[in-house]
Amino acid sequence: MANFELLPDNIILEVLNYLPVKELCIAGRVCRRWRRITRDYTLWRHVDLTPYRLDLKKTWKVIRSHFSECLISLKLRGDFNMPIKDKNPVSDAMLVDLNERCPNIRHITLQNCKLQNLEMKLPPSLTSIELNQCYWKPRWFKHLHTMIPNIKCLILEHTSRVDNHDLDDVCKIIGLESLNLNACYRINEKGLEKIAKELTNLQTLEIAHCNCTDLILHHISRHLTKLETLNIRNSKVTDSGISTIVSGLRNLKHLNINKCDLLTPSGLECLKSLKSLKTLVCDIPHITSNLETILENNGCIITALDRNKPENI
Amino acid sequence: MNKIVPQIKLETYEKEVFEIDLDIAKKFGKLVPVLQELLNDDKPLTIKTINSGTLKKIITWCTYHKDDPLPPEDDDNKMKHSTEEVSSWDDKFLQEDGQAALFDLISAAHTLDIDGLLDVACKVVATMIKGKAPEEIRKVFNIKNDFTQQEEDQVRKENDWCED
Repeated sequence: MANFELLPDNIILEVLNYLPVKELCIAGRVCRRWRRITRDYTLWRHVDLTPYRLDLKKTWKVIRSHFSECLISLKLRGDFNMPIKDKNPVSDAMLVDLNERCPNIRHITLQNCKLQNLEMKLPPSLTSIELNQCYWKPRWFKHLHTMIPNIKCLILEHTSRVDNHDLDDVCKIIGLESLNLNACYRINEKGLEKIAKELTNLQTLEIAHCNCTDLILHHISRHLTKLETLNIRNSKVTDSGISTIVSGLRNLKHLNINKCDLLTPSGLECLKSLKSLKTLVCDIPHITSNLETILENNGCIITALDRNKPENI
Repeated sequence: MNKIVPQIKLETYEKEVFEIDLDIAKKFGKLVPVLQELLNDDKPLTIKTINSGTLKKIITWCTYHKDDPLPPEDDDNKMKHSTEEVSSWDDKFLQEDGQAALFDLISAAHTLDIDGLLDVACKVVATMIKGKAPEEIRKVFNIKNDFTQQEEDQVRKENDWCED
């Protein structure tokens, strides 16, 4: 009969791979063998610290004890309820340290962080940044394209701080392939128009709850021809906007038009000529069973949602 | 009797021979080509490290999950999975015979390269570790604490951020 001690290292590694960071560190205190295995680099490639409330000191301790050149992605979370400066999980010195320790880091997520007092020099190796509900120095985005030359993906979902000025700066990142501005309600047509005209390499654009209009869809269809994913949930777009998308975005695979109350079933009919479409999220009353059948025969998966359901982007 | 479904023969530690439909044995990852070659052979493939009880469980699991899609390839860029995806059937099936049987099953799943079973079994073990202090983990899995006092202090200090 087998027991834990007879299992080979790679199986124990497999088990430990399912533990969150904190539990992994606790497992490292069990015995010498577990300590060795918990330090295996494969367990420290993607580190999610967002379930914990860590201040700067504790975050830095994790970085010093466990991070190496193997780190690929890191998620950190601050806590607005903590007034003291150190409750922010990042500082400029810590970012310098992170950059030196982890030259291969590709993705960073920061949630609930007050970054107004920081220079925020992020590692240049990043290709993807996510800032949720963060505050930063005015015009911080201005230098992003030179600081992080290979950035491809920028997620600012739920960061209501983002305004049209920030978008002016974001538009300098011409190589950007994916931009998520869901629920950034301060931006309007002006900012969105600039994005649609300048970020022509975008493959993913998520602008749910962003005051998107038919005019914006016109610009998107005309300039963002590489677009594969478009989320305009909760927008004041009409049937004519949808027909613009269909004629312009011939590579579109994923479309979310849920909670666009001005749409009608006849307006959605044109979607059947969009053969590239793989997923569609819409409201139940906007889709006829005839259209549903045609789209499904085209290989499209439809999620028709009840309008009365609670908000969820 | 006409044999419609091709079968493979496996011999266990107890020298008991099991006939398994190829349809079910397709779960055996890297072993599949080997088993296919043995199809026309009358001699069974002997796997000494697996006992009959464990092989029976494996056949039951593979039969139940016969039509599951293949698990996705390991991807370095993906975050690790959570332990919440274990179905209640799997959970009960894996735990009903106790810990030693579970570890036998894990070793066998590893030997036979059954990815789906290995994944789900490792998740179940991870769930057994979660939320426990080091001493409790040692107790559950009967592991000896071989740290010196000095080492233990050092490891604790390194990870004191975990303590609320």
